[in-house]
Amino acid sequence: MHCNAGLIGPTFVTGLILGSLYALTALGYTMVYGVLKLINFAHDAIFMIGGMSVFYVFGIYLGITTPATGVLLAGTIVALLLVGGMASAGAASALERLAYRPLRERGAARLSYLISAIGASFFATYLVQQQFLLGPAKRIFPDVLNVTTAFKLFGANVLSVDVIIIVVAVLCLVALDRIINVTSTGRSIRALSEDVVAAQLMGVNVNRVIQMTFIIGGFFGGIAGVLTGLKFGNVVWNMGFVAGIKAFTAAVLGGIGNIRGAMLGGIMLGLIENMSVVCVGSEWKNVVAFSVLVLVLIFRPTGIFGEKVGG
Amino acid sequence: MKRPRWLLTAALLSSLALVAAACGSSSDNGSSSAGGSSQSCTWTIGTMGALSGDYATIGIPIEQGIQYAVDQQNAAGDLPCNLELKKEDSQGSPDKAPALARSLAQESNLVAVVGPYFSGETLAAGPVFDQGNVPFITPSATDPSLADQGWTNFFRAVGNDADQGPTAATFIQQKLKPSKVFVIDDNSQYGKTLAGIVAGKLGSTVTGTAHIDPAETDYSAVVSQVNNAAPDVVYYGGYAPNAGPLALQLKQGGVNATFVSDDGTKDATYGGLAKEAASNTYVTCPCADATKLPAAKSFVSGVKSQYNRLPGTFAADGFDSVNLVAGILKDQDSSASIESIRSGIVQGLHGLKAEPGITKSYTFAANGEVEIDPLKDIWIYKWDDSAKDFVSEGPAGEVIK
Amino acid sequence: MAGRVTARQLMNERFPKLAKRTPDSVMNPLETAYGAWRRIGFGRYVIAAALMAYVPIAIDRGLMSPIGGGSEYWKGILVQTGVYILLALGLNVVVGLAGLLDLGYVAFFMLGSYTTALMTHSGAPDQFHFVQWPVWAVIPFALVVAMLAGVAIGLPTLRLRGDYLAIVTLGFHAATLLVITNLTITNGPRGIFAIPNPSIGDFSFGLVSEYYWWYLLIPAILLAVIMIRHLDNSRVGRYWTAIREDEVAASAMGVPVTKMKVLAFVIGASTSGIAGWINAVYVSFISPDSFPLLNSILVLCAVTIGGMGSIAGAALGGIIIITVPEIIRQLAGGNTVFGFDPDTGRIAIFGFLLVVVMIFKPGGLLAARRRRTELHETGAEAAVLQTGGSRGSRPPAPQAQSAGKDAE
Repeated sequence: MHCNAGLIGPTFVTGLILGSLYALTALGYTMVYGVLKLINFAHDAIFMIGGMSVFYVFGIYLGITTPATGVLLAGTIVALLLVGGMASAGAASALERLAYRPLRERGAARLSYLISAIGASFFATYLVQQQFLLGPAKRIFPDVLNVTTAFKLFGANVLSVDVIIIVVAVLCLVALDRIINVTSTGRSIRALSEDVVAAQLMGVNVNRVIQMTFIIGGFFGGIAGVLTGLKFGNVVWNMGFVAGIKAFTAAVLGGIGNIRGAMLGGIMLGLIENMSVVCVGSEWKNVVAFSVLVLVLIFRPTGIFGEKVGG
Repeated sequence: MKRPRWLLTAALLSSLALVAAACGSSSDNGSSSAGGSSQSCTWTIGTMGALSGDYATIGIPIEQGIQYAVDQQNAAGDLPCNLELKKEDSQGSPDKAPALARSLAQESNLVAVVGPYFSGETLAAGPVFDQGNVPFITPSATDPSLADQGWTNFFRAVGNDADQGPTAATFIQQKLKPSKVFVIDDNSQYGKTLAGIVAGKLGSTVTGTAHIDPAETDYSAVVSQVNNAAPDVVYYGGYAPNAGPLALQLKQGGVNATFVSDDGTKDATYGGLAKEAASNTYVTCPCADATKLPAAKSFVSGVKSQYNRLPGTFAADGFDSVNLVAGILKDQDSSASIESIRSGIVQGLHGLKAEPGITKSYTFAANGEVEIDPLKDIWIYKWDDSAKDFVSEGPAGEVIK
Repeated sequence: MAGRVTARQLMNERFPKLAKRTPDSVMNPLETAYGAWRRIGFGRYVIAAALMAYVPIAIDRGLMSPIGGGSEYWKGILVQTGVYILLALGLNVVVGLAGLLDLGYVAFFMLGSYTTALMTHSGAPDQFHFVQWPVWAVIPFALVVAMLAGVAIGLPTLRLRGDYLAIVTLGFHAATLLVITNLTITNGPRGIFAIPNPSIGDFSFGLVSEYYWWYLLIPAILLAVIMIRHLDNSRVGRYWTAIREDEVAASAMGVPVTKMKVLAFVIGASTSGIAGWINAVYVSFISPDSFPLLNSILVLCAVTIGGMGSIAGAALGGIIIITVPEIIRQLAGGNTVFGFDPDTGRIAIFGFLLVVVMIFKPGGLLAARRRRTELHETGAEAAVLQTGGSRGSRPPAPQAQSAGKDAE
C-alpha cells in the first residue's frame, strides 16, 4: 500500500461536498427512525422522486434549456428545490398513509414494516424505470445553472453548484433544528421519540405527527435528489439505490435518530470514502464504506454521536 | 378491523388488467419467414440476444441487420431452401442462455446460429452449441477469451477487444501524442478487459489507473486522482451512461484532457450526459461506418426503408454473418442431413479466403477469429455537437496518417 | 403441532367461506383422501417426486404450447424455477421461521457458485483454482462454504435489532460482490467460464436436454423440504418460533437464542450452497453480474408472497417470481404489457404485491399453519407502532417500558 499525499487536499474538499449530499438524504432516515424506530427502506425512492419531479416540471413541462443568471437564477433554484421537496414530501406522505399506517392499525410486527417499505421502494423505483416514465436510460436534468468553477481549494475545483449544495445543506440543517426544537410539531416529534405512550396521553395526535415526520424527512430527501440532479446533470430511475445505502450508512454513523449526528455522519462518510483513494484503489472505496458501516453497527450500534432526536 | 378496501380492489383490478392486456396482445415472437421464392424446404438460422429488457437498444439493431439479410436472401431465391429466422430473446442474461441455446440446437432444421450478441451469454451458450455441433457466428461479442474456449464451431465476425485495445492505444500514441495518459474503467467484464489492454500497450505513458462503480453518480474521488496525475489523455473502458457523466465531471474538476473511449460509449446519449465535455471525445469501434462504405449503400437504404432508421452498431456485421452462411448454403444439397449441412458450414467458413462482405473481407483463423486489419477495420469516431452523435473520422489507419 | 387435523378444519381455517358452502357429499371423499395422504407418511415425498418428475414430460407433451415458446425453453425456465425454489426454501428458514430479515441472502448462493467454479476444471488454463476436482466431489464444499458464511454473518450480527440486521446483510451482499469483482483469483468482473457440466460415465448433462437438470434439482428440493420440515416440527422449530415472537421472553425461558439464530442462518445458507453448485455447473459461466442485489430482494419477494414460514408457500413463491413473468412475457410476445416491460416491470408488480400482502394477507398466499395463530403480532418492539394506530386502544401499560428503552 502506497499513499499519495497529494490527494489528501482535493479528496478532502470533494469528500466534504459529497458528504453534504449524504447528510441531507440521511435526515429522512434519521427522522423516521427517531419516531417509529424503523428504518424507512423506501427513502431511496423518495429521494429519486425529488429529482424526477424537477425533470418533469422544469425539463419537460416548462422546457427550460438555457441557464439563468442573477436574481432569476436564485429564484429558479429555490423553485426547483421547492418543487422537488414538495413532490418527495407528497410521496413520503402517501407512503406513510398506504404502506405504514394500515400496518400500524393492525399492530403488525416489525418485519412487516420493513418488508412493506422494501416493497414500496421497489414498486416506485421500477415503476419509474418503465418506458412510460423515465425509462431505463439516464435523463438529462434541465440546464438551469451554468456550472462554473467558483474557486479552487486545496487543489480541487469548487463549482458553483457545490457552493449551492453546501449553503442549502447548512440552511436545511438549521431549519430542521429550529423545527424540531422550537415549533409545536417539533415538540410533538420529540415527545413521540421519547415515549409514545406518554405523548399520546398528553394529547399528541400520533398519526398526524408521524405523517409530519415523513413529510419533513421526505422534503429534505427530495431536496437532496434535486441537488444531485443539478450537480451531475442527469437523473435516472435507480439514482436512489446507492445514495440511499450511503445516506443510511451516514445516519447510522452519526447515531440514527440523531439529527445533528446524521449531518456529521454524512460528512464523515463522504470524507472516509473519498479520502480512502489516498491509499487504496478507487475500486475499494465502497468496500471501505460498507466495512465502516458493519464495524460501527457491530461495535457501537448507537452510532458515534448516540441516538437522540434533536441532539 | 378497518382496512382500506379500495386498495385491495385497486390491486385486484390492476392485476386483472395486466392479465387481460397480456392475453389481448398475444402475438408470435418466434419465427418469421419471408416468402418470395418457391422452395419447398426450409433451413432455419437461429439468433439470440437482448431483444427486450435493459439491453434491447443494443440488441435490436443487430437483430434488424440479421433479419434484413435473411429477407434479402429469400427475396433473391438463390438458395436450395428457404431461410427462416428463429429468434430467442435472452435479454442479454447468461442465466437464460443455456436453455435458449438448447432450444435452438434442437430445432430440426437449424443450420447455424448468428449470435449471441454479448460476451457473457456467449460464454454460457457456447458449450451447448459446441456439444451440439451447431456453427455459431457472433457479430458483436468482443471479449477476447471467447476464441480461447476450444470451441470448434465458433466464429466471430468482428474484431475483438484485443484488436480494438491496441488500435486505440496506437491512435492515442500516434495521433494525440500525449506525454501522460490516465486509464479508467467501470469494473465491468467489457470495460476492465479493454482498459487493461490499452494500459498494457501504452506502457510507461500511463500515469495512473482507476475504477469507477457504474451504479454511482459521483466520481469525485477519481477526478481528484486524475487531476493529481495531470494527463493529456484520459482513456475510459465502459459504456456511455457512465462515460458521459465521467467526462463532464473530469472537465468540471479541471481536467483538460482528450477523452478516448470504446464502442460501448459510441451512443447518441453520450452528448447530453457529457455536455460541454462531449466535443473533445473520440471512440474506437470495430464497427465500420456503413454509411461511408461504398459496398454497403444498398444495405443502408434497405434497412432504412424496412425499419425507418439507419442501421445501428453491428447491424452490418450481423448482415454479413448471415450472408457468409448463405454463401456456403448455396452449394449444399437440400436433401442432405442437417448434421452434414452444419459441419459443411463449419468447414465452409474455415475455408473462406478473403470473402468480401459489406464491412470487410472475411478469413477465419483456426480458433474462429476473423482475421482483420485493425487499422482498416477498426474505425475512429468523434463526437459532433451539431450532429448530436458520433461521426466517423474513418478507419484507424487513415485517421492516424 | 403434530396433532391430527381434518380436512374440514383445514378448510375452515384457510377458506372459511368456501368451507361453509361445501356440502358433505364433497367433503367426505376429500376427508378420506386427506386422511390417506396423512397416513402414507413418507410416501408423500415419493408421490411429490413423481409429480415433479412428470412436469418436464408434460411440457414436452405441450403443456405450455398454448402460451408459446419452445419446450426446451420452458424446461429451462423450470430449471431456473427449481433453483429459486431452493433459494426460497432456505430464506424461508431465516425470515419465515426465525424471523430474521436477511436482505443479502443471494450472497450465499454466490459463494456456493464461486466455490464450485474455483474447485473444478474451469476457465482458462492460467485461471486460479484451489483444486481441480470432478464437479460431483465439490458439492459438499459448496455446501460447507455457504454454511460457514452463514456462521460468519450470523455470529457478529446477533446483537443487532431487526432493521440493522437487514442493512448489515444487505451490506454483506454488496461487499462480497465488490470483493469478488475486485479480486484477481475470481477473475474479477470477467467471471469464470467453462465450468464443466457434470457427467456420469459417458453421459453428460450438458449435452442432451434441460430434463436432466431438473431431475438433478428434484432430490435437492425434496431433501431440503424434508430437512426443514423435520427441523420445524422439532424442538428447533419451536425455539425459532419463540425467538421470532419474543426474543427476550424466549431467552428468559431458556431458549439458546444465539445458537438457534446461527443455526437458522446456517440451515438457510445450506440450500443456497447446493443451488449455487447447480447454478454454476448449469450455466457454466458465472460473473458478479449474475448475482445482483436485486436477486436477494426477489427471493424475499418469493418467501413473502408465497407465505412466510410455510414450506409450500416458499415453493409457490419461487414459481411465482420466475415462471409467472415468463408466461406474461410469452403472452405479450415482446411487447410491453400496459407499458410495463415484462422483465423489469415484474419487479414493480412484486414490490406492489409485497405491500399488499403485508397489509391484507401478512401470512402470504399459503400461510403457515403455526404462524396463522401468531399473526396478531404483539412483540414488544411493535408496541410503539401499535399505539400509533388510530385504533390502538389497547392498554399499553406493559409495552410502555420497552418502548421507552428503545428510545434511549
